[in-house]
Amino acid sequence: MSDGSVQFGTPIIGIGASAGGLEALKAFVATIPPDLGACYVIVQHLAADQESIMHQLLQPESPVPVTQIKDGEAARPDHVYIVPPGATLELTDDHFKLSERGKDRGAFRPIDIFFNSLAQVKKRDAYCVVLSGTGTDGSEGLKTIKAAGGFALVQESTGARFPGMPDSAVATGLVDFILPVSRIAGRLQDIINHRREQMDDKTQEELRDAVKRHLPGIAKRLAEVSGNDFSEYKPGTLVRRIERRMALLRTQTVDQFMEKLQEDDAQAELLAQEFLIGVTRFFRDPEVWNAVRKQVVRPLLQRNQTHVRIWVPGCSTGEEAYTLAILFLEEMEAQKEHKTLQVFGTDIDVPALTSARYGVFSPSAVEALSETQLEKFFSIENGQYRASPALRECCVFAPHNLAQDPPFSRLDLISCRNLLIYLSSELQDRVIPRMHFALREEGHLVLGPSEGVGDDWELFTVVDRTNKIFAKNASASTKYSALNDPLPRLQALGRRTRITETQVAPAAHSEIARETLAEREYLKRFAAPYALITGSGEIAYLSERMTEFVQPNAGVPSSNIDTFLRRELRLPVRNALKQARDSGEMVSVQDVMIDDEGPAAFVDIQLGPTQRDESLFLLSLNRVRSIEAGSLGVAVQRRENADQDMLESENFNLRRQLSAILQESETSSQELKSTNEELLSMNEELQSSNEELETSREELQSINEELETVNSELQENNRLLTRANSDLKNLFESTDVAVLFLDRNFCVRNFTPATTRLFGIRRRDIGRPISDLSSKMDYPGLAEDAAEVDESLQGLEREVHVKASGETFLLRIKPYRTTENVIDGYVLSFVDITKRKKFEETLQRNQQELAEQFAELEKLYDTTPVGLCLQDRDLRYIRINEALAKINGFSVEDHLGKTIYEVFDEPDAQIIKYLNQVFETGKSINHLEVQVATPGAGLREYLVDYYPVDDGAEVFAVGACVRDVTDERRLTRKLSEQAEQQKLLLGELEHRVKNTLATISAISKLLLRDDDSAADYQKRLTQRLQAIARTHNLLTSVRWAGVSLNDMIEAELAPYSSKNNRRLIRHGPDLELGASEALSLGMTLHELATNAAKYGSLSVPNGKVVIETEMSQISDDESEILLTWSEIDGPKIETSPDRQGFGSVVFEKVLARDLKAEVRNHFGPEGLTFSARFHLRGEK
Amino acid sequence: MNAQKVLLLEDEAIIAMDMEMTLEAQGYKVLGPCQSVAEAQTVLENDTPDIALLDVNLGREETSFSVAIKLHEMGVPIVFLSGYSPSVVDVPEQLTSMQRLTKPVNEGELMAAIRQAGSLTPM
Repeated sequence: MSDGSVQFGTPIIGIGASAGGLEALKAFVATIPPDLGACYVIVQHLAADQESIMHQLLQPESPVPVTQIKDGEAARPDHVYIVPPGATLELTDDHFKLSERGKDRGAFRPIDIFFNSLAQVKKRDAYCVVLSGTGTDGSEGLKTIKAAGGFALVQESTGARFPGMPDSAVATGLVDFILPVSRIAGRLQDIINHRREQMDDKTQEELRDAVKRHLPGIAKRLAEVSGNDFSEYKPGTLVRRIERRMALLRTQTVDQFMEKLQEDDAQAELLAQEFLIGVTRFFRDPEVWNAVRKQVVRPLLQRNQTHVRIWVPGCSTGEEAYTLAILFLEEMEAQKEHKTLQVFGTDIDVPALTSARYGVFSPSAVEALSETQLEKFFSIENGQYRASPALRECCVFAPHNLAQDPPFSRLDLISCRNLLIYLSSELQDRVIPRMHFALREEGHLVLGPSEGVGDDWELFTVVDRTNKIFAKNASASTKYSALNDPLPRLQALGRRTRITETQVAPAAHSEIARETLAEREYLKRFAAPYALITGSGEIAYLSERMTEFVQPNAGVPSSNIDTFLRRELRLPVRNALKQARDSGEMVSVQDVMIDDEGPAAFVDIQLGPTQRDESLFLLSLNRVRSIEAGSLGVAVQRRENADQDMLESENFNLRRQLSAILQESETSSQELKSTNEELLSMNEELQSSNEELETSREELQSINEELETVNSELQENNRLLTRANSDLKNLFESTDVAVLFLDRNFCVRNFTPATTRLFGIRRRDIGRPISDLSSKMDYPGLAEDAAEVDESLQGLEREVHVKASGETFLLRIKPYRTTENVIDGYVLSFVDITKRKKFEETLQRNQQELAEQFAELEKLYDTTPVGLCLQDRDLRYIRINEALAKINGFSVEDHLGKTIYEVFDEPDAQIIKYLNQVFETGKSINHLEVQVATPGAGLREYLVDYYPVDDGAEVFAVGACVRDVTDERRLTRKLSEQAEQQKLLLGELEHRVKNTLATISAISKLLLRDDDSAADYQKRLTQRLQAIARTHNLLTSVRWAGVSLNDMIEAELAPYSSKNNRRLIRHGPDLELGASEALSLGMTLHELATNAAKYGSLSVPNGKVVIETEMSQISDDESEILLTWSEIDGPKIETSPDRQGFGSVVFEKVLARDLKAEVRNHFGPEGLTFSARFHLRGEK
Repeated sequence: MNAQKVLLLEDEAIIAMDMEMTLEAQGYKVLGPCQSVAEAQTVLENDTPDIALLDVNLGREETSFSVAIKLHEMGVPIVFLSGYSPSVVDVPEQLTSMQRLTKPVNEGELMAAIRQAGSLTPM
């Protein structure tokens, strides 16, 4: 609670209303003063998704503007603001802050939320008004507003349509005024104006000083009334509260207020109660409780003690005590350390204690508790939370004044939070030692956040400075003694008539004060015997010494004083009691004589009402000193006379009583008689009524049974109906099909959720014509279609299109038939066929494609040069193409449908074997090489594949693929042959070339002569090479097969012979020479010719050469040849010329070798004769 | 020291003659020249050469390999002569280590091969 300069900002009045609020709000708003300068905020319970037009409804009644709040708006005076649905309102400075309604665990309490915020921000300028409504929203907020110094007004519950909220607010005991709703605004005006008047600074100060001055007097008055001494509370708090009450009462001066207090007990009590307004919550400042849990509770539970005692002074409505109990219970369970827990909660605020004992809290009060805690320690009762027995048992609540009454003792923990701040420092100094005294050696003290242990540091050590946890310093000596306490004031028991339900428990026993002690002793020892009796003579209390006078009667004992007293005393005492009862005064009877077995004794009787309780009387019997003998007789006589008088008067009285009673008795008797007669006749009537009733009863019974049956039928029906309804509901909701039910006028009766895709339709559109609703599709023809359906009584189908999304729907309109088959509207169902349409289109396209592809394939099948066919298990031709048909030599038609045996006279067994193999193994046979004599085409080679065709389960056909590879193969073979040949030839060629080169090399060496010049050598070599070349040419011309000898001869001798001059004479057959033979002979001929040209017959013009061949067959392919070269007409030869040169070498060696010839050289006179005999191979 | 005997097997007469002259000029004695396997074998019945100079292809699809193998068994070092390039000629396995010359053969090359072969003969 802050002190400081008072700012009188705009007073803000929060008005909470719920059910029945409209009437109340209208009435309230109508009475708002137009220029009070206050701001009015209305908080209601509204459904979050419904628009509210409250501001429009109230505006006509209101003299000031009424608007719905916008977030962030400033609060302007003389303006009514209404919280919009779905939001909670809080105040920040003088601005409104709207937040979305949260999903709280508890009920939605917007009024509490706003009031709390209002209290925080506006404090003493906060006003709250609670109007009609159910539930308890607003009560918690009201408490906070009151605690902050604001004001609370509530609608009279008799005038409220729903009194729940007002009653709950009143039950807090904190409401300032309960009024009919039309007077609330007026009262607010009064209070605000009054406060304003008080609010200028000077008046403020004066007022405060005046209050302070009167404080002791006020405190004294309050102590009288409430028994609590507030004189040592901090003045600030008290001053404010006094000011408040003064404002409420519209008292201007403190003197006036003091008067009121003195006159009116109720006002004094109210003020006393105001002082007690305490704010307590569950787990207030949670971090403190966490610290307590760790640093105090846990170690405490580990100690070796069976009991845990805790004291919470100033517990008010008990939240803190329950908090501690919960803390301990939780920890005990967690640590499995079970102790007996005792939490003592005390306060001077008796109603608050009652509430604490009750143990019932509103949902907002238990906000700080977790779900588990609520479950464990509370049970829900009518929306409120009641502490469970386990929790409740731990806590004991009792009135106790911390400053005046002696403290508890042997405590483990004292939690005294936010109490000391209200006390003056002197009072605190008295309280803190008490707490030190009350704790055990290792006890702890927990204080509120701004409290400390004051000057008494040595009494406590700090355990946790931030969280205000202290430990008892056991070594410090306690400064407290109970004997120093002021006497306890007796509580004003009878005067507390407000609100409390149960009697206050007797105060805790205080120790006997010295005075009382003295009194007791005196009473015991010296006082005359005395007794307390009731007005009717029953004994309430007997003192010890009364035993002298007690002489109980024989018979059944009773508690009447009469029966206890001695005979002599009974009459006087009875009389005295009667007198005392009647007069209310003390009565004394003197000198009553009693017989005491000795000298007569006299007793003085004194009987009078007690001071406090008018129903009790105090009897005192004093023995009088014995009188002297002389006056004894007088005394006795006097006594006797007195006795007689008493007796007589008693007698007279008794007689009178008796006669009166007798009369009464007579009359009563008469009355009784007549009553009796009445009763008799009544009885007869009743008898007959009874009989009627019996019959009725029987009728009723049978009716009842009928009703029973009907009822159970109805119940069954109902059950079926419910089931049908929920089936229908589920059907509606589960279907994706949009179905719209229209009545005969095309108004919407019902629809499935899917319909919202097509129409902008909501639940509240039921009843509106369909044409009112927006539609996403083109459908102008509803009316016509409906008319048609009406006539035909049949359904109608149509496709409708939604342009925007490209969807297509199939709309079916059918007549709506009731169960009696009456047409009562139309049912329109929309089936989304978009996909279907797409599929149809795709399907069409696919089919087309397939057809085209199939045509292609067929064409291919028919025209491909590869032979294809398909045969089933009977080897029947299912399918065959032109190519294969041709190969088989029959037309396609001749094959189809016939088996292989029917088509061919002698089908190939191997083929049949293959086909069957494929059927059996299911495996294809590939790359078979088959040779078939095809009619008209000779032997053809085919490459055949047989492959199985299955339908997923078994092979149902074999396909054949036949390729004519004859030409291919032939070509391949030919090429291969050619390649071979080429290889050979190349080899041959290489060989020949090498050999020729080697030969040339040899010849070049052979021709070498020392005397040759290079030019001559070259010439000679060239000639030989040319000879070889000529032979080569000839050989080449016949492909190196066989050369004719004649050709060779001609080639060699061509230079020497001409047409005119034939110098060659040829005899004998031609010879076919092989390559090496030709070469050797060619060289030979060349040498012979050269030599002949140089030295022989060809050197002269007429010289001639005769070449003869003789051949004789030896065998089929071998013949013997004799070749002769004879030179004639040549120059004479004298001596054998030296023709040894190259030529002779050739003759003798080469030819001989190559041809294996017998060579002879003979130089005759004619010339040279050369002969060679050799064998020749080859056919003739 | 006796001249080493060289068995010459070559079917082309001129080439044979050439080689014979070359060998004899270098101091070797020539057995043959033989023109066929048959001739060579006849020679071998009567004489054992120290070195053999064999033309691989002897015309009419005859090769000198049969003789060569026999000579090899006899421990006679062999020099092959061929008109075909070496890669084409399929020499029997045991003869692959023998020297090979291609025609036309250089005199120097020939003599070097012969001498080397001759140095292999156990004396």
